[in-house]
Amino acid sequence: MRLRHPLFARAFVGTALLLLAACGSRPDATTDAQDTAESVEEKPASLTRINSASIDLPADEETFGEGPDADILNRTCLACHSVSMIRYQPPLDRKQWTATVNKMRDAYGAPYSASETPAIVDALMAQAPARK
Amino acid sequence: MDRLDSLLAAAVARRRLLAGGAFCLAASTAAVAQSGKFAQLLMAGGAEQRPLTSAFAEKGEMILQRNRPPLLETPMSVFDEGVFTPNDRFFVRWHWADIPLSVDADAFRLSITGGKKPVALSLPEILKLPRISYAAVNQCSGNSRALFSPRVPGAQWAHGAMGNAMWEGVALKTLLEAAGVDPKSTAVRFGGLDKPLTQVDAFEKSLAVDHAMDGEVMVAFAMNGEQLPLLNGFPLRLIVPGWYSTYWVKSLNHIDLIAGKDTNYWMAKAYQIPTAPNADVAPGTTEFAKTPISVMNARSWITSAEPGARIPFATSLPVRGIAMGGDCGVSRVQVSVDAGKTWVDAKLGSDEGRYGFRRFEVSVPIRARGPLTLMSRCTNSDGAVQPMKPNWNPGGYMRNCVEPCPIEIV
Repeated sequence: MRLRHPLFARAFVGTALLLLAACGSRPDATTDAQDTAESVEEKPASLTRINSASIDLPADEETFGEGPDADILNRTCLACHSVSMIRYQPPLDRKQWTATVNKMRDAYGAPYSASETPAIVDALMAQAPARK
Repeated sequence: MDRLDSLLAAAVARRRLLAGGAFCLAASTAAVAQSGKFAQLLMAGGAEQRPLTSAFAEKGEMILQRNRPPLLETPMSVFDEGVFTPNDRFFVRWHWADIPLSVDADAFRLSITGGKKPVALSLPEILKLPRISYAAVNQCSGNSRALFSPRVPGAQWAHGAMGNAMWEGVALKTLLEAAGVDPKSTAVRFGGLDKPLTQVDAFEKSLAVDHAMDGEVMVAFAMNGEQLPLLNGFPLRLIVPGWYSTYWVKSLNHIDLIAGKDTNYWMAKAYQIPTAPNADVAPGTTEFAKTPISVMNARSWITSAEPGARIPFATSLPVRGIAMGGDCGVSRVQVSVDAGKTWVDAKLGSDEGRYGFRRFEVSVPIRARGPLTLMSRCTNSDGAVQPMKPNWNPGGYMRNCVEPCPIEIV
């Protein structure tokens, strides 16, 4: 469900409060009253009920493409996060990319062994924003 | 590694599908995430482009910093529209890719362990408890990280990893008293429904018992009068007013009273700042005394003009913006049109409470066409003034200097 209208974006009257209390499962029920209201009460209505919620996330299909550098980054980085996390980094030097690759493995359990670090860093220096 | 393996398998399957002829379906979904519109963000080193997206459920148009796990930034223009940030424009930040996408309100329980008796509360039970409500700014520790010079790795936020909402919920103190606080407890640890994909520490944060029992820290079920969006921590979120967002645990479902230091990665290793004043060390420094990040500092932003704006000449220019005190109120905001040489006092908007944003507005005289640099400077109610010089630390935390907004009068 898409919930809009933060209730105090504009002032609304006590009747709107009552309305919301009466049909707490339909937050949009206040919209009409809100639009025609003249004034006064700025405090948002108290929530009276919490409804189950469910959403889907947009697809995340982007990869580094094909080739040896792309293959290793697709395999080691994209299980946990999008390509954009890497693409939007500022230009990092070899030392900074090495520290990042180590942190991903040591702190976040990224799926590669320490011995793979130099190859991943090489691939990042070629494919990601890098200061060479 | 089971979860990671299954996610990897799913990712591979998706890509096979893509290669195997289902291209149209996949491509159309991907096209939704990338609207074709872009935001220009001022970062250290110049403007950078980020896609604008309206593809996320519960959200209007947001700056797409990362699809998965979502990092969605609020465009600055939203902050020009009001002192409160609408739920559908409120920034989104998750650490782990396994985030709650579906929550059954009837089955959900908030558990409290480590007290005199274990407690598991349903949402209807929580709704019956005495409530508190206040406005508070929720700001990422790394908000404005992309302005750090030299640049530092991490999420490259401009200024929109923040928002101000009216939060409503139950004082944490009320809940902890229901569980009974053992005098031996020293800290309270909080965790949510998000899960790591690998065998590492879950995202959990802790507060000292005295802080947790201060009567202000809140377990919120409402944000701007509505239940929270899933992407902002439905159904319950910890609110730690005046402190950075890293403590505002989303989809909060377990609270644990502990004795001794919290050695969890997210308290002991991550989100560490230099102990130096304003978390400021010489650029490039890597070794320094560290402490977990905590209270926010005073900030202000001009919202009536974006950097690079070309504004038609008129003898006066209305300048509007928002300010925050950090962990106290805003007492003064000044505006400069000459890059900080001279300042005029702005008129402050309504006071919605010391933890919230405060709007400001002033008309400044314009004498000629040409480039000029707008600035705003907040003094908080503790007397702290935004510095002109940016701070620097390798985490990209706690930026609060005066932000130049270069514009051109044409």
